[in-house]
Amino acid sequence: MNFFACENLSAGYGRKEVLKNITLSFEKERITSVIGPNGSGKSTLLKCMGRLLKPSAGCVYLDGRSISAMTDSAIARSVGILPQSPNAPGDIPVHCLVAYGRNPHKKALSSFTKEDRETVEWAMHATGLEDKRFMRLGQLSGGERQRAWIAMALAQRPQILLLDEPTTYLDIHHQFEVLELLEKLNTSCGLTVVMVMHDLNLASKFSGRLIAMKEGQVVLDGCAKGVLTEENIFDIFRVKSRIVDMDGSRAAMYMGVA
Amino acid sequence: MREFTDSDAKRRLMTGAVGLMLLATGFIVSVITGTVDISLGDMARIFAGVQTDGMYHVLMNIRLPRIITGAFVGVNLALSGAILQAVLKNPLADPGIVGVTAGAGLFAMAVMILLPSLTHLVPPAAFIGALVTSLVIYFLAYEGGAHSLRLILAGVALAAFLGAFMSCFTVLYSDRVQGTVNWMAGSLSGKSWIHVKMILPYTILGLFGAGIGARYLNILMLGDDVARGLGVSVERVKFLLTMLAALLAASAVSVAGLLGFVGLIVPHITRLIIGSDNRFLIPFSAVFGGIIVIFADTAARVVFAPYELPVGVVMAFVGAPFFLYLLSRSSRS
Ligand SMILES: Nc1ncnc2c1ncn2[C@@H]1O[C@H](COP(=O)(O)OP(=O)(O)O)[C@@H](O)[C@H]1O
Ligand SMILES: [Mg+2]
Repeated sequence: MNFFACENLSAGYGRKEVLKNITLSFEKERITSVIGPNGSGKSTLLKCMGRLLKPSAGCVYLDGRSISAMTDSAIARSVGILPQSPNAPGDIPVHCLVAYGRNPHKKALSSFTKEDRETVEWAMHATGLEDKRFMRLGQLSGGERQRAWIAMALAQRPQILLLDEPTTYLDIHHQFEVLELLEKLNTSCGLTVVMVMHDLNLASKFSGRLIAMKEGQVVLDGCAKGVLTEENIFDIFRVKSRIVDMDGSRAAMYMGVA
Repeated sequence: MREFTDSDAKRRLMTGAVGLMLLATGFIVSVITGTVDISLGDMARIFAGVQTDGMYHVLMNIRLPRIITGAFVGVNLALSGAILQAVLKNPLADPGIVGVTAGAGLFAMAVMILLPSLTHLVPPAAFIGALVTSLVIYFLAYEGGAHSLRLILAGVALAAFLGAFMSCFTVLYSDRVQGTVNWMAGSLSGKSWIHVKMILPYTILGLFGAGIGARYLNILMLGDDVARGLGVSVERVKFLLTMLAALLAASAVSVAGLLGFVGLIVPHITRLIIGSDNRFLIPFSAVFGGIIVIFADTAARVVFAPYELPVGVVMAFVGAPFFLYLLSRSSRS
């Protein structure tokens, strides 16, 4: 079922047009990766879908309703979005950051209920941060910090989570840690994930669907096997590569630009 | 509920206890020191209502309203600074940044110099000047959203612009400048119960508003995008909180003149002590703001007695070196 979609979406910054007429729809309970060269508009697309940026034309639909007609907190109860490398004061304890995720469920003066507390517990448990609850953000490793942000977004109880480069700046161990967490949340809680990825091999390993963007347009859209081919990689990134299929997953070996 | 680590809770408890002690000490010291010496015994008898001589008048109608006005001025300036530092995500922000100082200064100076017989219009003029200027800065800086850097730049530019008018006044009416000096430096001299009544509603409004706003300030500190993702109507909340900060600072300067450094330094010190969580930073800043102004004003009254310094001068003597110290600390880390 398509419950999240954008239709004829165009957007930009000031006079600069970045996204050109993009139409996409997302099925429930899947992991989708958006790939493409720098400046191709991946972040811009994610921001429009998460209403951080107002499109100049077109619409984003959630369960058949246009999100421009919904309130900020109503959207936030269904859509969680984490921008690329978010920033916070280093002295916030993990459990406080996670508790901020309950904000869309609260009125200005309402207090923290038992349900809120249980949800925060669950989010910290799901991300394996129970032991770190009293640690401060600045004391965490990069992977733990990224997990703390994901826990915050999970405490929102969204149906869909939009993530902009959740693994950038992480070493390979922490990259896997974050992606395996997303995979686990996807299978165990049915969380729909749309993420921007730079690593094509990790993107193909962890997502059922790859969307490739170039110059503000979607140029390829399909399963990993269909998108990750030597010709496609050359068309999109201008890099020569060899494709290796092993144990059911597909990987590219890059041979250079010359 | 295990919401906080023990060490955090302990530190807050300690800080709160020390704060209340300092507040009480400051209050008592300020009541008993001055040109007329009032002993602790006199003070107790006056508050108990058994002593009603000349000392009663000094305490109840001169010192007490001055102390209370000073405390509220400190509370309002500190709250204003704490709010702005969070909204602008800049620990060096202060009420001057949103034009309160320049706006209030120009309007008050205009009244004092052009209409010297209407000095009772100085507070409302300063108040209006401060609010109008902060609104102008906000809308100059607004472009699809209020970004902190643009707000800060617009604030600096407009302050320089209004400052030029003030310089014109000082040159063209150099004979009348003398009367503005105290106000421009920030002074609590001669404050009475009228001034307490003038500022009290804003202190109450500020404490409520900032108390409710603390949760939103915390989320705004995560960045505009994250805050919007968490369902905060970022632009509306930023506008309301900035205007609350402007209102608080305007009410303070309209009563006490251009008292600087309180709004900058008090939230900053408080943050160093208890951390950046606005649910605690806001109330603690309020208490410390009151304490600092009470102590500074006591010093202003007694250090060069029988002459009185404007309290703003004392704040600058203490505040400016401290500010430089903070700057050197932050540039090192
Ligand atoms: N805040 C902004 N203001 C102006 N231009 C921007 C802004 N953010 C991105 N752009 C421009 O939009 C284009 C697409 O950017 P982006 O969506 O961030 O690309 P990607 O995430 O694919 O690297 C780039 O040319 C970039 O320079
Ligand atoms: Mg990007």
